[in-house]
Amino acid sequence: MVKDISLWSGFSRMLIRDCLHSIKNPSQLLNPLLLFIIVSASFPFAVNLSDDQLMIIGPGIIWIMAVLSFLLTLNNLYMTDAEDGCLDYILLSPQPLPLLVVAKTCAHWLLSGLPLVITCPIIAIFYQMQIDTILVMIATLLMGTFALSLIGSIAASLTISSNNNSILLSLLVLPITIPLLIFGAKTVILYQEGSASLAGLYFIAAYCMFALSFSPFVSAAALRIGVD
Amino acid sequence: MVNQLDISNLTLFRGNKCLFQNINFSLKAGMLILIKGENGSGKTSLLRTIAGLIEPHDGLIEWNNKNINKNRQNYHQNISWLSHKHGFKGHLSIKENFQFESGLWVRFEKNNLNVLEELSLLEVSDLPFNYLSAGQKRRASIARLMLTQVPLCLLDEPTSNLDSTSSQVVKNWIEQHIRNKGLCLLATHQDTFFDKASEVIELV
Repeated sequence: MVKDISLWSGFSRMLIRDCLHSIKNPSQLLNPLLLFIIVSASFPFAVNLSDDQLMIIGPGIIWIMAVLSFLLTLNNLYMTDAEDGCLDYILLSPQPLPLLVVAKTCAHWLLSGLPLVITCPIIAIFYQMQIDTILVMIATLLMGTFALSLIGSIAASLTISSNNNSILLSLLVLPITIPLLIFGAKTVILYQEGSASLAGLYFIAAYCMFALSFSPFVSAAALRIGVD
Repeated sequence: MVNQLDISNLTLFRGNKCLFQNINFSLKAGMLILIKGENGSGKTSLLRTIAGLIEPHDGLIEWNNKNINKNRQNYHQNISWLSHKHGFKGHLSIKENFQFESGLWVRFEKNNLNVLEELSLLEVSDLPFNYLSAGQKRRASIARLMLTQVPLCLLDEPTSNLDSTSSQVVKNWIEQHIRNKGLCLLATHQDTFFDKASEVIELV
């Protein structure tokens, strides 16, 4: 008996498959996360700074480490699918490709971005951040890492045809993530100083929405060209 | 409705090398067309082009008199694909991979265990795909093909890495598919399916 498949079915199955596959292969998940935790947490011990100075540099260091460790995970977004042939089946599916791209991006964020957000409060303690400041930090990272996943999806799909694409991928992504880095860190610093910080959050939210509006379509087009 | 795939003047270059030029044929319901050629002659590229994975430099591919580029979703609802790469996630089992397939393909019978049994895969269907032998991996790809019930099958060397028993299962399935008014485009460098073919396209 032939049954129709819904868009939700395609989205959810792709999301679950990617999550399940990554959970069963945890080294790809844990290495960038451990890098983020170890470097961010050991920084305050390596430099002799006062609490006030740590509070000022903390958001910047956490954001830089989040971006760098996140970059390490982008290479796996489509490359493993291209290597094992799954990408062909994804491209040949009657499901809309941008929808499947969003599902893959969401799975990537859930497994690479969300763990950074969850561990961020622990790291923030090393930088003497207050609880309300940590909440602002979480808010910026929550939206910022999702935007990074969306932007990273474009770069990963554009570099799918090059064999050793890590360097090219970093070169493509880093310049686009600089505004996020600046606004993410500065928003937290401004909040700590008691200045108006809401604009920064609005900017990151707008950046995230902007990326969400075009990333699936650009990534889908780049994948079709790249797999050629 | 009688399904039909029409290929007109299909041409593909890789760099400066012409892989194939002015390929023309019409594949109708109940037909098997063989693409023959030595390794590197462009059989896989021709199949990938017809599947819509590669953009040809020239030519037209029509499914039921409609250009596939303008009707991609409908076209992809009607094709199944078997290539050298297995298309399974290595850390997931065959059954887990099939669960995912059922969300991607309209006509995928994930619960049909007879196919797994026929291909002697039932016992290993819960093991991670990476643990399987080359032959078992190939049989898993064949199982997916058999479970995806669509009219047009694009098959790239379907019997490679298979033992004689599994090869016979594949041959029987292809014959059955053709009898049921399916369409089959098969690339091979062997003479296995020669007697069943309505037409042979030789690539040099």
